[in-house]
Amino acid sequence: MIEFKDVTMVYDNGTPALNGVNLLIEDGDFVFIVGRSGAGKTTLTKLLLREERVSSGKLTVDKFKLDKMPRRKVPYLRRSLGVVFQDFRLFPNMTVYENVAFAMRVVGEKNSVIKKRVPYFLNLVELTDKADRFPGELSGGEQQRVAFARAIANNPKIVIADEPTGNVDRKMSLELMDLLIRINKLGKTVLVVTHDMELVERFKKRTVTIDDGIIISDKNGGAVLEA
Amino acid sequence: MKLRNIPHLIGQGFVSFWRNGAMTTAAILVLICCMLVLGSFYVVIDNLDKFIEDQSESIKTINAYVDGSESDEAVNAKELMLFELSKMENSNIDHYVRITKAEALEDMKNREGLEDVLSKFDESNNPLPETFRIHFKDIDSVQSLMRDLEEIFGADMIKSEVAMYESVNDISTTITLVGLWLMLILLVIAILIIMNTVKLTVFARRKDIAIMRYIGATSTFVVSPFIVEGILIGVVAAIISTGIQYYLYTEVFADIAAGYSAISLVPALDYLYIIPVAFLAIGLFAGIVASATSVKKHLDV
Ligand SMILES: Nc1ncnc2c1ncn2[C@@H]1O[C@H](COP(=O)(O)OP(=O)(O)OP(=O)(O)O)[C@@H](O)[C@H]1O
Ligand SMILES: [Mg+2]
Repeated sequence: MIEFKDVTMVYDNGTPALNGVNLLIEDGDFVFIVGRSGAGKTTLTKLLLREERVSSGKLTVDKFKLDKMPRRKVPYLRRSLGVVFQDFRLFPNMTVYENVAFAMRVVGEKNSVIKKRVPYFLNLVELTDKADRFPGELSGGEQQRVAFARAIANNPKIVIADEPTGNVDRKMSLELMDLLIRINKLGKTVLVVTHDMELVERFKKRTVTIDDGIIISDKNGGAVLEA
Repeated sequence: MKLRNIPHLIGQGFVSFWRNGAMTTAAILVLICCMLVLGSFYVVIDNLDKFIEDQSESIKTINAYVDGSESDEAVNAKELMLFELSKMENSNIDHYVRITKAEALEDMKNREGLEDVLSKFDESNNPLPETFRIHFKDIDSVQSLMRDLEEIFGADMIKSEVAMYESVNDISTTITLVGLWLMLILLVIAILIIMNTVKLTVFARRKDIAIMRYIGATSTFVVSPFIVEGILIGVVAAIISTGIQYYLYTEVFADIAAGYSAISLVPALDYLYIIPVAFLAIGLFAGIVASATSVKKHLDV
């Protein structure tokens, strides 16, 4: 469960990014977050990760109360979130395989489990043949898929993808969306930040629109379809 | 942090230890200097202490001589005064012995190397004076005893090794002070260099550190490799220093000591524990303190 209650966020330099956001996302939801560039979408995901703190209001992610959580708990919050960052944030000096394996090592996963699961995830994002390449030797879309594999490697309860289809062609973006839908069907909460309205139209999921740091609409695409 | 992460973290520590070749070497060298200063000063002081201890029998005695021209009554009067002095409350005199001229000659003749020189002397021409040998208790307050004895026997008639003891003691105190300061300064330099070394690693890896934090690494997980790097620097320096110190002691110090027959060096094996343990303690202290302080500020992501 994710809950924003009157959340305001102003960056240190004084730029206001979110202004009174109220948003409730239940476990197992699939939500698109859309809006113009600079609307505050990435800021929203940064708050969820406690990369930034709310300036005022309350933010809850599962059992974590982010507005007053001590710093030492941040790693455990982050482990319950699988994030595909807009800028990927892959380790440049690790191979594709190591990038995914390292995420599992960070949470103290057994070596035997790592050896078994990394190939599975690489296969899922169709990167088995590039396992030994470094991120610098991959296309943007391929890097994005590595980030994707890493995000889901630790079986997080919530998966957040910031522009997951920004760097891939239509076919691959549909496949990635397919993957996200499958992950969602496994009971995980999925948040997809995107510009791609065509994609949003196509999948008929709940869509939250942000503009200038304010939620201007929250439509349940599925309900519309069913109605 | 999970136990199974430990091999990985130690491995990472080794990797950056090797990567920072030049700085690592510099840090190790300064630490070695620091350890050798401590070690060398320690063994010198310890040897001086042992030397003083060995000599304590002769050091803790004062000989008071009596001029041969004095009458028996005068000598007896002096002994009475000495006796009273020794019976006083808190007297520093443990006991004293009156050695007659004949006993003194006998005693001298029994000493190695002196038989020939003294063989032509007998009771008729005995050149040795009658002597009171005073054994005292506490060397630190011996000066007031010396003054009392000088009043009884006259300043010229008092002979003791106390001055020698005091100069050795002064030397030992000076050496301790100089050694401690030198060691402290070197230790601070070593810590600064290690901090610099680790900072370089942290700086080179700051992006990785940030990403690690984003994917849920605890601060322990992020810091451990740097601590391992610091520990490695400390341990390597301690091992090398122990070797060099052993060589210095058994070769160089032993050579110097050989020039003074009175000095017999404490066997190197007596330092088997204290020296390596002290070196290791310095190394670990410097390594851990330096690494921990230099990683801290890069953790806030
Ligand atoms: N680190 C930062 N410091 C200061 N201001 C920032 C920072 N990051 C973002 N902003 C500002 O906050 C506002 C919201 O930015 P945000 O990154 O959330 O937008 P976005 O909706 O993700 O845009 P895009 O679609 O281009 O990724 C913008 O006005 C942006 O300029
Ligand atoms: Mg963004």
